[in-house]
Amino acid sequence: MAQRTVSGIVTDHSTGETLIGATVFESGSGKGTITDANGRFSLTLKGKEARLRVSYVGYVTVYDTVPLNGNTSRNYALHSSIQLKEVVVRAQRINSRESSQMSAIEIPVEQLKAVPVLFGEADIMKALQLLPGVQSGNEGTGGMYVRGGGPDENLFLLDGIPLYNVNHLGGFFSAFNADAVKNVTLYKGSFPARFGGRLSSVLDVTTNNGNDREIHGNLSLGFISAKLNVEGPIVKEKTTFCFSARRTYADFLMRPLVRKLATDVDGKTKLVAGYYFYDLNGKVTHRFSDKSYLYATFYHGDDDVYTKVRTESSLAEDQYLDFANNWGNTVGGLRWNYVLGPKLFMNLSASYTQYNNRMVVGIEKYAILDDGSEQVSTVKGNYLSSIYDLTGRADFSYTPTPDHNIQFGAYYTRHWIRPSVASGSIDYFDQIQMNSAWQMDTVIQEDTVRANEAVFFAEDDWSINDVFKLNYGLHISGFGVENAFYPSVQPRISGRALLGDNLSIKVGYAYMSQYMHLLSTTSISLPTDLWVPSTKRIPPMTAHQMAAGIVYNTDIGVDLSVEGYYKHMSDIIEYKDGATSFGSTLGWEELVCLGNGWTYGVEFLAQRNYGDLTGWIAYTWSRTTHLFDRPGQELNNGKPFPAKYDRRHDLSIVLTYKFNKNFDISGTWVFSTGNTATLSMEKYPVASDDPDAYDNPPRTSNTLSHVSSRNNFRMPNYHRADISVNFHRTFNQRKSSLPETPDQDASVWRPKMRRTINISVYNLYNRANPYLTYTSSQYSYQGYSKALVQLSIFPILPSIAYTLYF
Amino acid sequence: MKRYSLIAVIILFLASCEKVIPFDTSISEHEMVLNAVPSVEKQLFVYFANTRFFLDSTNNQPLGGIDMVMSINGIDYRPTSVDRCRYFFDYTVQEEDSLAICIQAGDHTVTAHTTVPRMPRISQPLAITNDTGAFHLLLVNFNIDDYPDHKDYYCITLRQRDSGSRYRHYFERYDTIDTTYSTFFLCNDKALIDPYIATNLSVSGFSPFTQLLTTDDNFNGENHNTTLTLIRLTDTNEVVPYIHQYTLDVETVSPERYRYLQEISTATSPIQLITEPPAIYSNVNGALGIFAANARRTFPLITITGGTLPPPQEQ
Repeated sequence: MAQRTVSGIVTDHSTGETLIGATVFESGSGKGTITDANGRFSLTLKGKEARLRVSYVGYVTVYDTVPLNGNTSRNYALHSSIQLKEVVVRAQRINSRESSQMSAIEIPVEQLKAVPVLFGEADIMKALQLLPGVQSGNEGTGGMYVRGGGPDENLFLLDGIPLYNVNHLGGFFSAFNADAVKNVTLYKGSFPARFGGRLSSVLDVTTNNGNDREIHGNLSLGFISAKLNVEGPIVKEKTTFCFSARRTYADFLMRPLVRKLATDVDGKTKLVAGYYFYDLNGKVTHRFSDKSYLYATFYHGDDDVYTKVRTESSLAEDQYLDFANNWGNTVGGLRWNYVLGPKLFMNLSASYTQYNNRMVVGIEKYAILDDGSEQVSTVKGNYLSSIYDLTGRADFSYTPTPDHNIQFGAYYTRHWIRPSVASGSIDYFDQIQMNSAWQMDTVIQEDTVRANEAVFFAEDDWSINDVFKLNYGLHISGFGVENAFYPSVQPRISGRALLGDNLSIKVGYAYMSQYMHLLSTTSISLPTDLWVPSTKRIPPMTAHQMAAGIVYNTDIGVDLSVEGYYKHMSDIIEYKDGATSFGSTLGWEELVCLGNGWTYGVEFLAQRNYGDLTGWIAYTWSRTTHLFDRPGQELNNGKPFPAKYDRRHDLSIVLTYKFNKNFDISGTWVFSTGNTATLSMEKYPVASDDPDAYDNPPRTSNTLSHVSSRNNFRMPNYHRADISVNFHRTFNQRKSSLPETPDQDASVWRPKMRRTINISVYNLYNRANPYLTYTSSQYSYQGYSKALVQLSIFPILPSIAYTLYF
Repeated sequence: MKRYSLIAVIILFLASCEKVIPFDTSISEHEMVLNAVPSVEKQLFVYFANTRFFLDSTNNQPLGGIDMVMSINGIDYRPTSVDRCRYFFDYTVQEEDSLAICIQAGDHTVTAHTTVPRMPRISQPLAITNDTGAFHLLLVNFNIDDYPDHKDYYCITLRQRDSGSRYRHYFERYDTIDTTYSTFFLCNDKALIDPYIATNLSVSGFSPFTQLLTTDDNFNGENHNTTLTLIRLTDTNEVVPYIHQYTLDVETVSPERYRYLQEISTATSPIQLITEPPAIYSNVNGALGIFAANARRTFPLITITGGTLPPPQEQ
């Protein structure tokens, strides 16, 4: 009997938004598939007719019978179950029992938004940190450490375009505005062959296309930021837009306070200081036909910090110390999605991504001349670090039979990397000798690296039989830089075997290579962090990762999974002891050393996906060790040492309970072993040829610190509870032009507007968690005593946010 | 009052985030330290003691049961006196001395060796000063007559002894350049700039350090003329009197001391607050510290005065 193909798109009925990961299942043959990143599916079947079941979490399942007398195109618009019954959208794990993919988690954005976080600002990155195998950096920061990897080993994709900097405010907020995001998928291992370029994880974020029928949006006022999200049709059911903007306003709020506190005796302002960030997301989608879509994506995010201090030493003249730092990303991309045939889809895309970090430090001196005019003298130092990437990409998805889904393609990226450019300028006016002036403007250091990266990939998701399923592929890449070429052939394979109705086992292996590195000196994201490429002297980092796991679906709606992994990393780089590129005129390559690392662990996840009570419990036991023992590049005397975020235990409990349609409550509790830190415990005098220089007792200024080993100290354990309560209300009902459900006509009433008041408390029981530790002497009636002091930055922090949906 | 109340509340809020945490001192272990910088025409001494816990403010205590032998050009010497962990030898260091030390401390052996460099051959520096009203300019010109066929390591230091100013106690104690004024130490002589030291400069050639480390790589065996520049921006409203006495030190140093000084410069840089603490180079087997030599020549340069001179101090 001939095979026929049913293909199409699955969308949200009320918004026209495509649904990623919706299941299309043919009940007669037992064959099924899920929709891709464009909401498309293709299912090739035998027989006279196909009985399709189209389902998606949080939506009403659609049943359809399709006659198979030829290749057929069918689109399905699913009705949200929220409209029928106010329920919380459930989390869905795509590495469920049946999928061949392992170590991947997909969480609906609504679920991520429900997790209580700092200042009540929904943050995708921080919610992901609550998953097994994903660790946070320091308290409150959004840095991700996946399975022992560093924060630079995660590939962040925004509509397929890489983002280099995903942090605002030192990592306390991520660059992803949750209002603009439609779908988030995190791969921790067993990476599909279409992804590459990072060792530890891929975070694939898809933004909203926009409602194709009506203009909707929301406006939110939070503790420190305001957000606006608007979406709707430009040409009804043809062209849509989605635009989001977010800005913090702490600088506005603090300005009067700073002014009041920092006014000099002469009435002039002594200090001007502030910080803010903003980001803009935009997307325009145009539908030429059911077979042809064009997407344009734009993102721009910026952080600005500035201080201007009036020095006290010169009251007659005005002299200011200036500091300004600005950093952020700009990305843009065009993607054309086209159906070449019922079994073959194509995506052609071109994208641009840019990361900039600028810093200016300077002195400004204002002098009033005899003629009353003002003369300005300046001494300034400038620092710039930047990356520009231009990428062209072609992706194809081919489904020859229901048992095979083949994805293949290629992309090319041209990198322009300027790790650091330092320049200085002096424009000094001699006040006494009027005709004398000093001027200098020079570039002290500039190194621009141009690199080419080309990738070919192919993968097949193969259902061997009812028990075994395999995803295998090859990722072939080449990186050309400074007359060096690094080829890399990276096999990827993962498979599952069904053992009964509720149990499956999975295994996976992936080899990864990484050409871009982040040099970081501290545990928090600082502007001094430097993105650098592999070069002739610095080879790419590579990693082998093996994983195995069990997935068990209980009858009470709780999914259980256990995964173990081992990852070996080669050619990882770290700064030499005491080295940093900041302020250095040496090339960064001189300041780093190469080493290896290995990490292993076990992850447990218990997750409930439906019912009034949802959430998960995640626990990770892991160990991560680094070894830098190559001659001339030793760290820790060439001995192994625990990595910065080597933690033995990580536990997260995330629960959401929905009392009714107007009220829900969420809570989290996290526990983790303390971070490591390097402390100088011992001191000894500086060597001198003068006997009198050896004071007794030695002066602190004349001593050197001695560190016995790297990361020789472990901070106290970390634990914290957060709670969040949402009060929802709908009002201003009006008649809708759209039917709510398939069996309703257009005359039903539907809410026009609703609002949510979110009250959250971060660090509910005011635990003083360590942010950093430092040594200090404490004085008591017994005299000075030895003490280690811990600084905690976030005590109990209540916050409130108001969101209006229209 | 409101202002101070607000400041107090903020300080209280921040202070409440600080907490003393239990400290297990057993994770800290003492190690032995040997420091010695034999200097030409000076009495030889070494410092030998244990490292100290970072908050220990008591006096150093000499280690007991020490057997120390210094071999100088093949002849063994033993210390003749000990004072505050400093072991003095009855010997004045000479150019090109070969020194090796062996210390037996219980079952622990500490050894090190070095060779004393020759005195630097420096012409009498010429110092010119100019006070423009906006800044003091001090130019120091001199010749280095480098030894041929031998790699020499130099440490050049401009010292300022500041008396009479409001900071005089501070500067007399530390004997360094007054950095509280906007002072820049310039050396545009590319032959002298050490690339390693240059890494620590915020702007190339504008050094917060008074010390310049260099090798003769660019002028080996030549008579090299160079100029150092010191610029001190003047506060036009300055009324505090001062006396700046400048001297120039030029040292030849052994390779070990050269590397040691390099790493100290790095380790004491303010930028280290955001880096992993660096380990300091040591050429001592069995202990921390350095055993390295130097030969120094010192040249008084010039005295600059300003403001109203203070009355003579009673001796």
